[in-house]
Amino acid sequence: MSSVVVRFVGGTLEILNWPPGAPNPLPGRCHHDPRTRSLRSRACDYAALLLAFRELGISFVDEAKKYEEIELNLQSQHQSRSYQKEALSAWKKARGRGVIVLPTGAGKTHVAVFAISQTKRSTLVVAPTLELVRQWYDLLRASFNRPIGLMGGGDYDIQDITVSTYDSAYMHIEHLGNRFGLIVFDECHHLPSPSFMLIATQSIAPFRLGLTATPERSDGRHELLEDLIGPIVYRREISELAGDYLADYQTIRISIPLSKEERKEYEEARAIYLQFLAKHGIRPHQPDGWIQFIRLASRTVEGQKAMAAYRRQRELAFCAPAKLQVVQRLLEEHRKERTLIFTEDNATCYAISRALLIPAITHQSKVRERSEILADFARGVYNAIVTSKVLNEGVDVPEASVAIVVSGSGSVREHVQRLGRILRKREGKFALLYELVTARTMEASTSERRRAHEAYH
Amino acid sequence: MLPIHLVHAYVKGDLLEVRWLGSRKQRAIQIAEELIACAEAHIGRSRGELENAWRAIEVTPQEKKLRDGLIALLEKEMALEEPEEVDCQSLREKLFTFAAEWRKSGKPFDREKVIAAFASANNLSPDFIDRHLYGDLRSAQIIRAPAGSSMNPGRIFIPGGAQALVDRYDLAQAQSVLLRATKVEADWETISAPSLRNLLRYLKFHRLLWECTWRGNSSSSSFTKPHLQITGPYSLFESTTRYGLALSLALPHLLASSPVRISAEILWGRGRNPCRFVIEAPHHLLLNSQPPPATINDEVQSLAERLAQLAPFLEITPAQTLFNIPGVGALVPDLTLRDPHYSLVVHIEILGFWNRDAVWKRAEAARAGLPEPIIFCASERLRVSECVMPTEWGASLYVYKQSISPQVILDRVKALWRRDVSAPLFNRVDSQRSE
Repeated sequence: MSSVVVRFVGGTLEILNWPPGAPNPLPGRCHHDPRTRSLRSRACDYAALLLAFRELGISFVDEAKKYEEIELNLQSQHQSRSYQKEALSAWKKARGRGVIVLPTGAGKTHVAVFAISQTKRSTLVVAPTLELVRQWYDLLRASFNRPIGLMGGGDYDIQDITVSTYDSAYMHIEHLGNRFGLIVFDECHHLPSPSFMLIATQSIAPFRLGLTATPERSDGRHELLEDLIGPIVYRREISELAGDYLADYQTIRISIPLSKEERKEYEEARAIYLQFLAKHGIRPHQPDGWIQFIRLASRTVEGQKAMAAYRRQRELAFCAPAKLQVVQRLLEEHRKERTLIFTEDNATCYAISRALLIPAITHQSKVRERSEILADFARGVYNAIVTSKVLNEGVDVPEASVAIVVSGSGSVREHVQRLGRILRKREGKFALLYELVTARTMEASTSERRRAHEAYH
Repeated sequence: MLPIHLVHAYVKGDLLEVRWLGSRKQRAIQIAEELIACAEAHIGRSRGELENAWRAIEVTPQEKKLRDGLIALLEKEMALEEPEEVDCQSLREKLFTFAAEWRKSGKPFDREKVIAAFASANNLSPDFIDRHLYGDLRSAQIIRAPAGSSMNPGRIFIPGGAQALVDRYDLAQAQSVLLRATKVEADWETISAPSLRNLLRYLKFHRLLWECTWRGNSSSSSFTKPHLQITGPYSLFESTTRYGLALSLALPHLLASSPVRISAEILWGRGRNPCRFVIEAPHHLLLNSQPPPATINDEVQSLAERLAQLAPFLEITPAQTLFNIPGVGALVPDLTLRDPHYSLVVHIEILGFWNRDAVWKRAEAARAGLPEPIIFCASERLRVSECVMPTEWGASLYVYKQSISPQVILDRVKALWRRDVSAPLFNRVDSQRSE
């Protein structure tokens, strides 16, 4: 009789020549596939499957595993902080599967570097933005002094240690899911989306590490993280580390008034929008309320006017012209420090860049220009950068000590991440986050929603 | 394909209904003509200007999606290039550095003064600086006529003009719906073997999996009432839209094979609600599709030519036959070799190097008995032994190294036919060889 063969096919494990009458190795997770007349399981069940074979006493040929044990010599002399050691030890205790929750600036990436060095397996690191991919690439190359692979932004080079964007990993995991023994998911709250979660399920990696400052998602899908990566094995909040390991900080909310004319225009636009909602019984903050508004707004001329009015009142609140003057004043006040300015949209970002002549980074900025701007910011050539959402997450700008939130969404995570950008500890550093909120507009309630985190209390 | 949000679709019960152009076609052509005229008038101007001009074309709220969908299709045909040769990035770098130094020096920041000082130091005008500061953004790209395009008005971007653009619209809508498909099924009254072969090869290429069953009879050239179910490997575990792009790309091939019904399971909307999308005859997408060209790939073509040189007395043609083997599915040979004198036939299927399991399936099929002899050609990279398929089964497995040898094929043909006929034929093959 031919021996049992396990193969990796398109993000699944195909089990051939299963002995007739032998029990299902993983009931409920391994299925008969009539299309190929084989057994099939998800790639992420690889470790459990092999264990089951051994328990059933079934010999098999493993054609699935293509990852290597690799020799790694950690080059950097980075000293672990106590909580980093605790985090790593908790992850190892969970058999190398789990999520570590640490605030931005607490050195999550260094925990991952130690995990890679101690696991000694081919590793895929997945990060949400090209900027983060670049940072991981530099860090891993410096840490291990070996070629590092890169996927995303036009690169496709696979090495034993490879860094990828979530988008590229999703596109290629069907073919590369058996190539890595460890996957590190940076900013792992992105993983449970219906598409990205396939990166975890279509990979055979027995070792999995998730890193985030804010695992919770408003859609509740963070509960899937346990199946995709493992349980939360370690967690520390900003308030627990501020002062000792993170910079002390203060958040200041500045109320910006509208001019008389702006106020009139705002109220008129808002009235049109609200009347439309009332007429159709729409409550935008209820589930599906917003979708209902968009649907109705696209059907009639009245709806289109309501949509235009909604946009105008939002524009007046988020981009009140007086905000520009306040930003200008704050830049002068902090001209000896490094300042990050955040906006909700690209248009405001470019408007500030043009008006105040400071570099802008948006998703439209080319990778080379982004890198150069960040490098010049680190060297002190520029004292300020304005960005929309690109620098919200994970980007390492330790020199920044002032953040100005000109506008943003109601997302708690976004607001905490933006604060995190200025919290990396440096001798004598005191971080300041200014939030500009247009008085008596819908932005005030948006601001209340996003501040619902203990970091802002 | 259109961006999903531009598909005009709604869910009714458990059906996803697409709003096809239908009686709006004439109006769609009018809008398309305006869009094309507008685009042609903007040759040499910026994308931002064109986008504003397009949005200014008046349509009713109900027509907005149609207009934006046609814009999306038209944009794909347009040639765009970066504006004049000004290094905008370098300009920004210098200006922002200059402004940063100005601030650090403690001088009050006055934009106009900073720009004027920078312009004077670099021999530029303030207007030039403002114009080119972000001149490399997407909205600043310049519209160009595509190289070699017709200069006839209405035909510069799309040779067929507005009519051709509108003709693509409904197919683009259907393809976009399939981006959210988890499974596609198709039914035919009859399908010719070459059509089915082309389709299956296409699906194979995109690593899709299928189950093909048929309720009617199969002959050497066609199948009656076949049913095809197309998914991907991971579909066994959950309804995933992972294969949506491949399924969407397969749609024109499916349509061209003239099925009576195509249905797809869709996860639609933000909530990814399950629903069904159906295209059923007599649907205009089915009526207007073109039959696929009979294709033969280079490897098969080359083998056919070399075989013809070696054995000119044989008829060598692209295979027209498919075999439905119970429990195995469809076998899709590539070539058929026929000796007209003795009415002998053998088929050749090239398996290549990509699917080892396919070899085991064929060995099982051969053991169960094939309707006609087949030679299966597999690369040695599949690490399979020729012993798995003894010639007595009416089939032969040829494991080749670099390329397929026509001589070995002829030897296998001889071995297979020897089971059935008397010597004269083989003498002929032998005499051909000795020549």
